[in-house]
Amino acid sequence: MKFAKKYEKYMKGMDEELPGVGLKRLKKLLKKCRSDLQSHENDGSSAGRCPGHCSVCDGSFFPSLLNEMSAVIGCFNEKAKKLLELHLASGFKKYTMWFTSKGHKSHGALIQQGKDLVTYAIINAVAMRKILKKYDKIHYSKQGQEFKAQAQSLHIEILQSPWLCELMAFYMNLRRSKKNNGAMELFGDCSLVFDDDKPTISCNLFDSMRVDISLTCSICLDTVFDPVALSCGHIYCYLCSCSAASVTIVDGLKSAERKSKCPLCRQAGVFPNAVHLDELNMLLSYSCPEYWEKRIQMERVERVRLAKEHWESQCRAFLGM
Amino acid sequence: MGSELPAAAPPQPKRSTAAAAVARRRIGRELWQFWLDPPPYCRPGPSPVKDHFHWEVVIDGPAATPYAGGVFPVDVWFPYDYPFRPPKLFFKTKVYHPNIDGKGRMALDIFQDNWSPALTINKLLLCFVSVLFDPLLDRPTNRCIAKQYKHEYEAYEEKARAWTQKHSSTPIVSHYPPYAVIGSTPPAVPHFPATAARRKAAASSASGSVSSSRIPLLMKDESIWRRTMKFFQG
Repeated sequence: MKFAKKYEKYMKGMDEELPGVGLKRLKKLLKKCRSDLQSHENDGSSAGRCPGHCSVCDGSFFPSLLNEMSAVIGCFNEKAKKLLELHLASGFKKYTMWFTSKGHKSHGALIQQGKDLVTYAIINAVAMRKILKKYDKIHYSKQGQEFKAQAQSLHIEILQSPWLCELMAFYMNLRRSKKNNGAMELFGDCSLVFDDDKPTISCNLFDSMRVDISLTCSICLDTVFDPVALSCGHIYCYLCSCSAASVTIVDGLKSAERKSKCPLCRQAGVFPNAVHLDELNMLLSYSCPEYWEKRIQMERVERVRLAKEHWESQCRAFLGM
Repeated sequence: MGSELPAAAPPQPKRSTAAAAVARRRIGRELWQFWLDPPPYCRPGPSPVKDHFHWEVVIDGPAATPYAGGVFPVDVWFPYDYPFRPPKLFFKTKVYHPNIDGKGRMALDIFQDNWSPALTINKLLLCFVSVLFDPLLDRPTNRCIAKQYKHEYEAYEEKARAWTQKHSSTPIVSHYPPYAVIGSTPPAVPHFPATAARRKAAASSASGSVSSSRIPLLMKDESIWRRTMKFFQG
């Protein structure tokens, strides 16, 4: 079965209508462009492929794809946030949320919802990749590459979303608590793999896509502890990211300057909107308990020291010393 | 024989034990990685690493360059707030190169504004080797040598070869630490065949021959180094 049909079938089979990529419509646009090109070739006016700037494609193809991508990522982030809030909430807040979310959701339903969201994200990522590949086949312009770069800088690349990693961890956490199996077990499509002492979350889908998210902090070169994902999608330890952004742990990443850059991709302004990955933190604490205990001790000492330093400097500033 | 430059330690900021502990842990991991899998043409220095904040590294002159056959010891000094400030690397012998000054420093943007905590010593050494292969003539440290490289390449090559022969021809045998020495590094995998082979090679070279950590790259692979620089600048 062709991917376009598979995608359409998947989107129709969903319980509620969610935004998606209009593959058929975008393909028609590209077909029109191709037929225009062939008619030009018959005239003998131009040879080869579609010209660098094509009004048919660049005028309607990219703007509509951009809107669709934004809608998909917006919907995915919102739903993931809601689902994770529901799972992580405690006490009175939890009961209120359970009550307001229509009817009680069973453990199995939560697992299924998490899995569905991950599938939704990945299948849309594949759809976007396929349509851009088709565009590149017809055109030899740099527009495709520029669009990809623009999508990354606008943080609408779905595989970049910090919520994707968090959802995978959430799905694995729920499966673990249900089955009480070891952390190295393969959880359906998602798994936590320790390759050469380097943890990675892997997810396979439709045999055409494999998502691997490395859980090694590239600042301390250790497994991420109390992980945060910057808005560019890169994951670091909370302490490491605070140090990289030159902020104290008391002020937090919200107070980071706009010009602070991600150590890996050097994108500016990615620290203030960083997301705390609590589910991933839980998953890792269950997966390697000895390491976690050791790391907690070290972090506690370091955090106390940093907090002490911060308040001492505040007192000095207040007293005018 | 090799005329060495004075290896003065760069001034360090006031040492904070907790901050230094964080740096030491990271440096320990890098030392482990460097020992297991050094970049091409790089290997550990002759003496054991006693202080995590100061290493010795040896760069073997890359093939197909005027530095081929040379042995270049490099001093690596880490600041106590590493990796948030870049390390300092110095060539201990004189090197005739457009990007290396009289004090043995290589002026690269990744040591100033373009430094990132995600860069490791392996990446920096790879960068050093790539610059030995392919000098950055748009921002030379030594303008005279850069001019000579551009306009009289044969003369440059001859002089670089002569300097290599004069200052950097003394063989250096690498010191591979015994299995359990590296204290603050991750637990070892039962055995590392590649490392064992390297240690054996280092031990057997009592005659003083240079034990290179890798088979030299062929001429056709030279473009790797050009691509490396693009990666670092991108």
